[in-house]
Amino acid sequence: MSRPPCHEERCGTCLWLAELATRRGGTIGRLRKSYQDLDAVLERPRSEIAAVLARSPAPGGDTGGASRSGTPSRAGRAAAPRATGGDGSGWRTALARLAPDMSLTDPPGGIVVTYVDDEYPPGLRHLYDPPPALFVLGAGDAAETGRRLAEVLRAPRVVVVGTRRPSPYGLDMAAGIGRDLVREGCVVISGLAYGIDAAAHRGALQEAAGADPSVPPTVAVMGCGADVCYPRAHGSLRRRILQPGLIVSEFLWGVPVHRWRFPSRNRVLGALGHAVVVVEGGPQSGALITARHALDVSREILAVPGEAGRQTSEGPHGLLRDGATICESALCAAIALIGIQNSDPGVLRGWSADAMERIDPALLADRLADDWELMAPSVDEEEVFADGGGPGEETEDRPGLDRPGMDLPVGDRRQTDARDRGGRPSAAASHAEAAVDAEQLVWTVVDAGQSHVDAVVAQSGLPIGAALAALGALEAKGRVAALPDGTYRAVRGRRRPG
Amino acid sequence: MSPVLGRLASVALVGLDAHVVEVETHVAAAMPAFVIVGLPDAAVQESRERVRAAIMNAGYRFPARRIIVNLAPADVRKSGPLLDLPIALSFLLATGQARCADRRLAAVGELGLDGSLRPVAGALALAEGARRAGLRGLIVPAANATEAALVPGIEVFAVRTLAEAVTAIESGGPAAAATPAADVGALLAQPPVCDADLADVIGQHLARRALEVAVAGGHNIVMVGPPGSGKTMLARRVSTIMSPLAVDEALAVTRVHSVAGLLPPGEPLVRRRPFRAPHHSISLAGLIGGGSSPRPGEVSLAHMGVLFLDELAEFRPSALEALRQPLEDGRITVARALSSVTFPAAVMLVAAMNPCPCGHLGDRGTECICTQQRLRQYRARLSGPLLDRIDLRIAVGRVAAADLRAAPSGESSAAVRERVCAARARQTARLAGSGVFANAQLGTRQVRRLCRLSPGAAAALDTAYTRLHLSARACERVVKVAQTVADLGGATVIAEEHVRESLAYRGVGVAAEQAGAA
Ligand SMILES: Nc1ncnc2c1ncn2[C@@H]1O[C@H](COP(=O)(O)OP(=O)(O)O)[C@@H](O)[C@H]1O
Ligand SMILES: [Mg+2]
Ligand SMILES: [Zn+2]
Repeated sequence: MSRPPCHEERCGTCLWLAELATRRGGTIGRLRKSYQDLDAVLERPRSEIAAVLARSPAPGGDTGGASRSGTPSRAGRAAAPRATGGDGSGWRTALARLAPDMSLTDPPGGIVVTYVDDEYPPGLRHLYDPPPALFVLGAGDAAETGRRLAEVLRAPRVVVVGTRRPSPYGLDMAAGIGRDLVREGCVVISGLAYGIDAAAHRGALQEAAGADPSVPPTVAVMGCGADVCYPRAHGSLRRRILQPGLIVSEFLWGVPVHRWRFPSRNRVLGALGHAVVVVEGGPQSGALITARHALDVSREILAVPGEAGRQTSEGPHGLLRDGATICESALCAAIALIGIQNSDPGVLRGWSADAMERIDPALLADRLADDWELMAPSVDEEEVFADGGGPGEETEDRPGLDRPGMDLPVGDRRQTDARDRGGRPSAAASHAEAAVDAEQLVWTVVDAGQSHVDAVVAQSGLPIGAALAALGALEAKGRVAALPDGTYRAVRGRRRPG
Repeated sequence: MSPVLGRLASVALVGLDAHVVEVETHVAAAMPAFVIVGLPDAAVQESRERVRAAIMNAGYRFPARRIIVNLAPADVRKSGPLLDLPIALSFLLATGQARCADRRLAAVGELGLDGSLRPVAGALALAEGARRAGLRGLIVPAANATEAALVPGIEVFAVRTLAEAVTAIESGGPAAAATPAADVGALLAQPPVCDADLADVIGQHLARRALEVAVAGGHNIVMVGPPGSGKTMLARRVSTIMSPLAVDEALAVTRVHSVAGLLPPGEPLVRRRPFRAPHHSISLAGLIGGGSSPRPGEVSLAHMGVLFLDELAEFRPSALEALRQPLEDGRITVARALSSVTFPAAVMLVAAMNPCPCGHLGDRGTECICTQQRLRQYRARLSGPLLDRIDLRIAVGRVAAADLRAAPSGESSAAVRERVCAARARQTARLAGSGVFANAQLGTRQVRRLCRLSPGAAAALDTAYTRLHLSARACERVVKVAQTVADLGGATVIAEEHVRESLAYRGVGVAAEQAGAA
């Protein structure tokens, strides 16, 4: 037992520990009480590790199956002779006998990377209790999955998490951030849960459709086996993620969900990215747990501000109070990543040249300027009205447009009103003019804050028909978005043209 | 007791149609019995007891003989108590206690045990059936007389008791005794006052306008909003902005309501467009009609008016599915073993629903507590063919409490109704000869042929199609609604702003199409 274990033996120990950790939460954490870190654990023979574990019983979180089919000591003893066989496969056979409910055969497109492998995500090593192995699944073959994993680890990665019961605004933000992050060359990581998670995955997939398929747009981190479909209703989303992306888990193949596995998963989720964006979530939510774990390993934390007073705003607002970076668009996340890169280039060593170029800070400032009028007050409304065609095209010839809408004399509004109610404009030209005026009026209202149609009517003084037509025109230009509750919101980030 | 066979005409209902029934009574010197043959239903069988008691209490004799009543033709099921009177009269004829002066007189009526007459359901349809069959006069219970007298071309004799009915057939129904014919047009000119008016609604610009568009084009509409946002209040006012009932429409509505026995006493004619709001627990038969002797359902009672389905998602899926045919065809056919009955069902569907099971999704005041899964199930209940028939889907928000205290300042129903009527007139002119009379009824081919889009409108539609991921079907709905918006604006061609406004009614969120899950 004095000879240090070879690489294969340590792989086998990792798998064995992964099995134990799958059955019982906190396994690695308990070992750290006796060993300095996981590397130190892996230097020791399994019999010794098993004995240490037996001395420090788990405080709970037992799935119930462990004591019957494989107490650590028995498993260790029974399997040890075979594990020395060389490549760890002998160990698998032994485990398969001991734990028939856990599949040790990799599913098609599935690979296992252990703590001692080079392919193991470096970020996870920062955890106090790193998963001994990571189970990775993709839609291609094993080689393809390996290639994707390498791509993911080379790219900037942003974790987007939030509540399972989001508001339409939250969903919208999550999807938009997911979409824009992929456009910026990042990988979007989330947990495939209902709500924010799913929206972020979908946004990423939407952006990736038709783009370079070699870089996985999104990765899901599961609280069950990576090959287990959970939640059931996300079967098709899961398949869509697997097409270009990956699903990973610290738990063995085929393992069902269990309550304690979600917080455990959240620590992996938090450590896997360079930054974590929390969209909506209560103070006790899984999203906040993820953020806390990420903070433990010094990841950048961003929070999307929510509506004041909402329970799901408490999480992100608390983070903001504690110094998290405000996230109003994917660009915020990208800037945060640049900060990381500047302060610690090693973290992002693999950042692709292309992505680097794309989030060049100077370039970003430009983009921010035309996306956020507040940063560049000189950006006038022409930009707003110029890109969709329609009546806005004439804007350049018309004086007074730099200060639109609000400054329209009341009499003018009345006139618009009268024209519309009458339904018969005196001339086509004046009609078109009225439409442009209405558009600007409406834009001013929506730009000031998310508004229901009724509020737009009340504040603009326009007749309802004209207000709806103007909102429709702005929507067609991608300047406002209709939300399910009948409200319209100004679209800030740069959206893909229709 | 020389004559042993009595014969008298009557009318019976099958659905909304009245058929002449010949009531024959044979009195035989055999073991005493009282038998009714000729496909009577249970209610008709009960007639025997009422008829026997009424005859004796009215002072006539009921001999201990074998009495056989035959209802001809025998292949049509007879139902209801309205054959009491003709059975009694036919018995009195058979036993020589009465004489019939005119064989072209028919009688209907339910008898009380004391020989008094009670009103029957469907007097209007019965009178129409009697006239169609070429009968000269109809003897009806007094309470039904004004309703039956709505039908021109048949004399109506009101009777209060069995004895009066005997007098009527013995006298042959002198014209002087007939109930004067009613003037439907004059009755419609003074509709009963309605205390609900659109002016009561504060704010809600979008909802008001959407309802105006919906009514103008005959489109169905769904309102999605949290509880207390005024959906029910708005829906109850929809019929107040519809054009007044025309004479034939009023008769059609009255026919259905009368057959269902829902005419209020003293109101022989329905003078306002119906508003029916069945509870979501309603049975399938209650909603679309049915029963062993088919009765009209709510969808038919709302004929020419508004069918309001509050809490749309709570209705059983089978009921919503069954609504598809009537919404498509404007009528509903209820098939039975022996007959199939068709009821009219040209309704405007107004539906309301919460945005989610708890009702607070997107609500500013209260937070939604629904899980995504429940939300998904909730939405799934709505997907499919019924939603496809709903052209306008809007979100209704709660009006701020402070605004609610303000005095209502919105337009009155009368003002909106005027625009609606003008738009309807324009549609009627444009659609003349096409077989339909409202934009909502346009089929795919007709939309292409009859709706003219300006180049700007076509471009706007194209952009929307790609940008908003509209389905082809959704596009067609947008065009139809845009046509109505154009009609309301007095435009001959659908302009860009009409399409834009119409797009605002396409529905997002709960009422949006479930385009490919996940
Ligand atoms: N816009 C409004 N104007 C006037 N009263 C309103 C308005 N919205 C709601 N109310 C009041 O609130 C009550 C509840 O509205 P209701 O139509 O039952 O809401 P819902 O059907 O959406 O739950 C109404 O009876 C009315 O008194
Ligand atoms: Mg209600
Ligand atoms: Zn809810």
